[in-house]
Amino acid sequence: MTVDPMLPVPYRLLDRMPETRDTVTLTLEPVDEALPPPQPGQFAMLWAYGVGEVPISVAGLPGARRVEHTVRDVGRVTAALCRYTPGDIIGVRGPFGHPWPLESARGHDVVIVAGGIGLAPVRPVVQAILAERAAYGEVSLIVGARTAHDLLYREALDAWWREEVIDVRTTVDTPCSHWHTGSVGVVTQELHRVPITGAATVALVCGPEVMMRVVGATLVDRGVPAEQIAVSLERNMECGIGQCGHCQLGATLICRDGPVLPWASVHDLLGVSEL
Amino acid sequence: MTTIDDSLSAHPFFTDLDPDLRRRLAACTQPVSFPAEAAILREGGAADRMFALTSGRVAVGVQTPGRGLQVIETLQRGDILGWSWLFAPYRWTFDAVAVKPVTALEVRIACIRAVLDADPVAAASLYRNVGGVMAERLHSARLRLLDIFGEGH
Repeated sequence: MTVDPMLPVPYRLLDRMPETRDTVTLTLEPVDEALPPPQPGQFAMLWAYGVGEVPISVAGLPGARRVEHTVRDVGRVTAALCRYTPGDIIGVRGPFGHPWPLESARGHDVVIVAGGIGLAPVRPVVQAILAERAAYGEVSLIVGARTAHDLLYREALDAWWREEVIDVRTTVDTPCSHWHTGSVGVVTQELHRVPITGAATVALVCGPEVMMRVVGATLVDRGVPAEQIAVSLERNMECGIGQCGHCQLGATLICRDGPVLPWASVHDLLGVSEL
Repeated sequence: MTTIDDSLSAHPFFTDLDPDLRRRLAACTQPVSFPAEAAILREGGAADRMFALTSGRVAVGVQTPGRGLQVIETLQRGDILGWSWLFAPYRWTFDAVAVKPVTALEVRIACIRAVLDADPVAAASLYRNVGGVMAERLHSARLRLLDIFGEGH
């Protein structure tokens, strides 16, 4: 079946898992025909019928044509998506954009740094690595959030931390009284504590742009080649296919050329206020 | 047998120091440990030590009536705890409490200060490393002021 990329395909909401006070994970499956299977790092345009459409990263690929998206309620459309209940129909377009460079990470040490809702796009990467753990070297996952209550996927994080199959480090800006498993501080402090093997390392970074700028610079300082650092950018994606120009960052169209891009190609752009 | 000098050499803060200075520091250093919840530093206390953490986690913060320790940051293996010994009035400005059982190398400043006063080159190399730690923590504090996980980011 040839899919018109501008036409939303109906998906049924199978499950709605609250993650934090303002964030839910939606599990979708196609009503009839499925879209092409997405890869970790790609995004889809989710339609709340009668309200509007927003770009949301793939947050999980549980199989059987199902796709998970984690949505934070930050506006009219995302609020509508967060209110949906199982059985409701959501329109989906996609998948769009370039995925994380998982293939080129094979055989390398992998450092993943995620902040806030930025954990969602790297979650399927962690799942893929865990499913094929021997294919990678040392793997570190550093997760930052404002508070412990704002951490996504708490159960999964706790399980990954307990299993010690990968090195999981969590840090928050503001702790609460029961915060004993992680650190207090910013992700770069944790990054300084992780052994990094320079050229043998591939890094994947997703979070607020200020965080990605600092993390990218820190990784380069520690010997990771800029072309082996991938960041996931977010802009006002609308068409998803590089036609409308709303997601332009310099000469880069984030929906078409990204959202995952090598640090080497974007680090200069992220400091330009006029872009 | 692992000597104190070996332990200092293995700690990132001391690795790049001149071996002779490290040996003199080792003569002023002893291994220490603290159980979970033990107070390591008290705000206002004499800043006469520096700790190189080798395991566990330490919370640095301010004790507040009715609210306990308000944690500013946590430190762990590879980190340095305590730099108030560098500046008058040589008093700790925060509390530090072991979140998990902690082991550390405790450097007694009274012991090393005469060495540093007599050898400006050695002193400069140690102070440069402390300065690096301070710069990193200042940078982290500034990033947190931006509230990058808040609305609008």
